[in-house]
Amino acid sequence: MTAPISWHVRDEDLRAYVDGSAPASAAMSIEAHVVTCAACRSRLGDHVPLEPLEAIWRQIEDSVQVPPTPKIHRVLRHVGFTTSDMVLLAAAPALRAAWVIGTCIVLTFPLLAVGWSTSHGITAFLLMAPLAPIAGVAFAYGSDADQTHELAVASPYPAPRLLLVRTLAVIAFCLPFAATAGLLLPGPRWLAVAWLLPAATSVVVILAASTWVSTTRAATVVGVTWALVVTVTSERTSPLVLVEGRVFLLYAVALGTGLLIFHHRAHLLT
Amino acid sequence: MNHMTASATASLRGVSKRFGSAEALAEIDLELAQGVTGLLGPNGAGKTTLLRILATVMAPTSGAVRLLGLDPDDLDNRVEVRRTLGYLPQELGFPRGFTTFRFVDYMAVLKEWHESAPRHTEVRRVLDLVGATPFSTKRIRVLSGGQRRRVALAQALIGDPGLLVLDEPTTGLDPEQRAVLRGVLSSAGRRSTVVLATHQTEDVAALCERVIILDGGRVRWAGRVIELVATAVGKVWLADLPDAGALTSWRTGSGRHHHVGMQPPSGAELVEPSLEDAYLLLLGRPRTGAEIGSEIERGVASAS
Repeated sequence: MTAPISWHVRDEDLRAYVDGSAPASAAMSIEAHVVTCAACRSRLGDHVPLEPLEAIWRQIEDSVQVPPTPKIHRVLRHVGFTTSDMVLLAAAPALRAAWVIGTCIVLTFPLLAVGWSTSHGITAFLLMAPLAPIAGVAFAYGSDADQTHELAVASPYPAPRLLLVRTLAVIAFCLPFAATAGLLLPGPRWLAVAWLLPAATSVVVILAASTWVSTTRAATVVGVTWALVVTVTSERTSPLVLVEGRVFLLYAVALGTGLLIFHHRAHLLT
Repeated sequence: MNHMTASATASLRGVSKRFGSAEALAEIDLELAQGVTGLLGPNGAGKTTLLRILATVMAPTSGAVRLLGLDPDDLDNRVEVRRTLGYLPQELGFPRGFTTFRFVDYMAVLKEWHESAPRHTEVRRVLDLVGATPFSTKRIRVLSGGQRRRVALAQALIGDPGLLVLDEPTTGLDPEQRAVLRGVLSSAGRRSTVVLATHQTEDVAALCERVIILDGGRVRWAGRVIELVATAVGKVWLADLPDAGALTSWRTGSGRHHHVGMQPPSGAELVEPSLEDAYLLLLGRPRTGAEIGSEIERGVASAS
């Protein structure tokens, strides 16, 4: 038969035991006592700080409820995108569209280029490479692309910032795809980066136009225009004239004008 | 000039909205204060247009709007209003592949909850409020219509908004879920201004202190629910036979006929009116002779 417990641990000793400041001998004595004394065991709980336990519980909940970041988005973390940017990227199919076109470019172009003349390969590359960012931006913002667009409009999050975050993500994502394809193609090595200027110009023109019309409509017009320009040019002369020499000045002017327009009219985005 | 009264959270003065030649709202004057206000009206009455203006998603063609004392025409004010706004649109799509938690988390980021830890705590709070915690890790595409509606409502409750604009929040919910939702909204109405558009008069009767009835883009009634119900006192009867003179009538489950109209049918028993009776009386149109004849022929008069 167990003798009834005739004493209880004092509050200050329990507190010292919990925070680890009790001497080893006292700690062992308290530990032995609380194992057999229900009253002290119950009081011990009052001295255990809840915050660390709640933090652990939140981590457990996060590991169950917060879905893992897709690989495609994890890449962007390395170029400065924050975790909340990652959440924003997931809602619009912008990256998916860019990924599909980018993958097609990398996988098909080097194979097709084997059977092409250099000129045809360059024409096709210049035609397609800027289309990945163009398609990505088309699906970055607006009711055509984002199922939650009306909620995004009613939120305090700045619409221009939302569009820019997704646009920059698309561009950052497309770069390695098209650059790889450019390096694998026969022709000048600088082509792997030269396509960036028309691509960037196209994206900025779409951004500027999106303050009047939807991004999908603006991207369609810009994409078709670019395709026509490349096709007509390559029929008359070398397609490389589109990415060298004085044409750069035209891109620079269009780029600057587009940026200015977007800067002044971004508040009109709905 | 600010026409708002001291207690009003939202005020509309002479607000009109046109879509081409169609006038969705015509010279609306309204004031909304703390508490739950129901918005009733037939399809095409302008309810969704009015809610979209209140949610700053759409600007009126003409007239003055003030929300939380601010003019949403100004960009800075608009952003300020949106910081304390919860909005549930009538139709809401969900991003492909999103789970319940991820969707509400995404909405919390749009509402400027940038820090992960407090944001996740808030997401859990609103999911718990609407009873969505059990399916927080499920993909939204596998959820039922009622569960999706609760997820959509959860995002509107993020941050305990001062102005809650809800377009048909109870669509697709079963009676038990609707009861839970009424609890959530009545609790929100003690702290905030809640405006909800619905076709369910019983939701308005159970939940709202005030009701606005829109018809053809115009306000037909704006006032307390009990005052609207009082307008139907003495105009609702139960009778054994259908009545051709009633504004609207139907055969009830007991086999007797529920009549709403100005004249009592012979042998009728006066009954307490409901909000639905008052609503039908307010908006009801006298039926044509052909309609009445056809109903009597069938032996059953239907609600117009």
